[in-house]
Amino acid sequence: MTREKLFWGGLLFLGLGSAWAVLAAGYAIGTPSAMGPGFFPLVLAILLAAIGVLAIIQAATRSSADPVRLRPFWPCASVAAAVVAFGLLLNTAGLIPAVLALILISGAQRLRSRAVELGIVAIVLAVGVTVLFIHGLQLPFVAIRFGNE
Amino acid sequence: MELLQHLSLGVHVALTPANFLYCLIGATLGTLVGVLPGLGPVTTIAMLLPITFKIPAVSSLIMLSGIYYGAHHAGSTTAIMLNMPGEPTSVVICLDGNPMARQGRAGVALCIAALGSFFAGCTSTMVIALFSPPLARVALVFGPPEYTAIILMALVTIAVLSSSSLLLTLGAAVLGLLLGTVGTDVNSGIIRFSFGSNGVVDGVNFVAVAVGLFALSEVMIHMTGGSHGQADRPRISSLLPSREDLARSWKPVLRGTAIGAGLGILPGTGPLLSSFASYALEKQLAREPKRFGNGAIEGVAGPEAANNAAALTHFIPMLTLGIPAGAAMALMLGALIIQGITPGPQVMTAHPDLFWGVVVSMWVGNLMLLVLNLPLVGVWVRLLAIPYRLLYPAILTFCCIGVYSVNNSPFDVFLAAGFGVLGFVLKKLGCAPAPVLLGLVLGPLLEENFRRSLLLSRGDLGVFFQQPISLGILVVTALLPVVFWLTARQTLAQRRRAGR
Repeated sequence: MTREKLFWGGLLFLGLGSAWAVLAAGYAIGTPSAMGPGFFPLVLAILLAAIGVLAIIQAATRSSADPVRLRPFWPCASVAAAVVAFGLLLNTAGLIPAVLALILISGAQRLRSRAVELGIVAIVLAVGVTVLFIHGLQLPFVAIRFGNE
Repeated sequence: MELLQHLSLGVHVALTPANFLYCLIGATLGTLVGVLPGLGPVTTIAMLLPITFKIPAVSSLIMLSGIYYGAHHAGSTTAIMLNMPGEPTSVVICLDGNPMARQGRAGVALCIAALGSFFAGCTSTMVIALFSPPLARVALVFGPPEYTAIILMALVTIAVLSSSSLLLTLGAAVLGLLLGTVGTDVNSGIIRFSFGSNGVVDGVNFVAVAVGLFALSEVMIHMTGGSHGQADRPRISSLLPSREDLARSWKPVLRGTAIGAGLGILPGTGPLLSSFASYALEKQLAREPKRFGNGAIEGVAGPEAANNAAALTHFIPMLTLGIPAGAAMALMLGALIIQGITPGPQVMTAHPDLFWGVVVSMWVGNLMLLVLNLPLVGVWVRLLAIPYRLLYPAILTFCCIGVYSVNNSPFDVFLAAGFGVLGFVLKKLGCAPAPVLLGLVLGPLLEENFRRSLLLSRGDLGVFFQQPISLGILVVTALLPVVFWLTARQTLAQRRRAGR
């Protein structure tokens, strides 16, 4: 485990723990024998923040430096954006546009180099899941929604 | 002869045409995902979970467990043929399985692996059938302090056994517990940490968390890395092992099964750990340790049996205590809860058809795997030719539809996207995401038992140390990190010496 990973991981937990502790303190704490809704989360959040501090301290004692590489970050961003787009489109536009958006946005990086392949994959999958889920498994999806139905 | 009665009930349930079919579907799907890298049993179970809500609880559990042990069974196929472990648990199989394939003995390696797995599968099924009822009877007398202690042990064990930093994995487990506090507080009825959203009133949807943490983040990581080159496919000449192969293999299989069945019960990475432990043991016991790494059949037989035995005994804590030992088990537990079955020691008595049906189906499934794997090896290996860029759109689509259809809620899809990013970041930090999911599932259970313990003891923390059972479990929990730290140092030193 390298210094950088411990440090950034510790910072992540310290941040999340502190924020959660503040939120938890907003609920009734109560006493150990009669805990309120805030007691257990508060204890856990403080524990999380403490683990974060310990990890940062441990990081300071390590010597191996190996930077954490989040890059290339585009797969993370494009997949997350594609999934959000799917969620937005499913109820408003229907299953087929949602699947098309999911695949085209997640593959945005390859739109130029492999546009045809990506398009075929998107269309095949959109038709495939429509047949499988709407006609086969009878899930309550709408294939395409036109206007304000 | 209570056991025979139970088993005959199980046979009755597992061999109905519908359940037999679900078992076959599960085992086939499991083999498929076991062969394909980048698509693991956890992802597959998370994707298919919503579909299983439509079928009876028994059938869905039979199918989901088929996926799980099928994947463990099949991961070795690609390890032997292409030096590419389909599952992390079959990394060890590469060491000697692939050299065997390059010597033209791929068929023998596959055959021994399949036979060893089958033997381990049958034995572990018997272990589950024999040991679960007494364990559940013990668990029935557990009170809140004992449950609190067991849940703590599960979380600490998974953190200790994971390969990354102990502190970071403990942090991930606590983060999961915190996520488990989101939603309605059972005692006061107050909705906590919802930020005014209706999406989390019943708690954070664990299917969304699982799909995000495991499936989406895996797709992200895979897209970052380059695609795998197509390796040479070795030819399979003869499947039949020689008399010498069998003579060398049967003892490692027996030892591997014992190691796997024992370690599999531990929460965390039981199957992974057991295959490594078995390999290390066989190497120590071998008369010519130098053969290891150059195609020693013992190095395939032992770990493969251990891996498969552990995959099955991994079910014991979930089936008897209602406490999952890993991410896949947490998902199956979630499936049971959604089906309206309260997990815990009473499942065996309240739903005997469920418990015994699943146990017998494991045996049936292992038989199917034996039949599926050997003759169809060529088909499975050819599947690897599918490039990842054609595979991931299908994974994404099934994930999104699966998450959405749990509650028909777009909010859950957004949640999955968020947890995908979290999983990506955690993996980049070298921290396994499994403890988060385990914490999320165990969080409400831990809070309830912790609160009840302290309510009964009037706020005295001593309650956890006064009962012998909870005291014992807590002592073991405290000792675990020390023991594993010592063994890890020893293995590390050994590996360093061996490397020179």
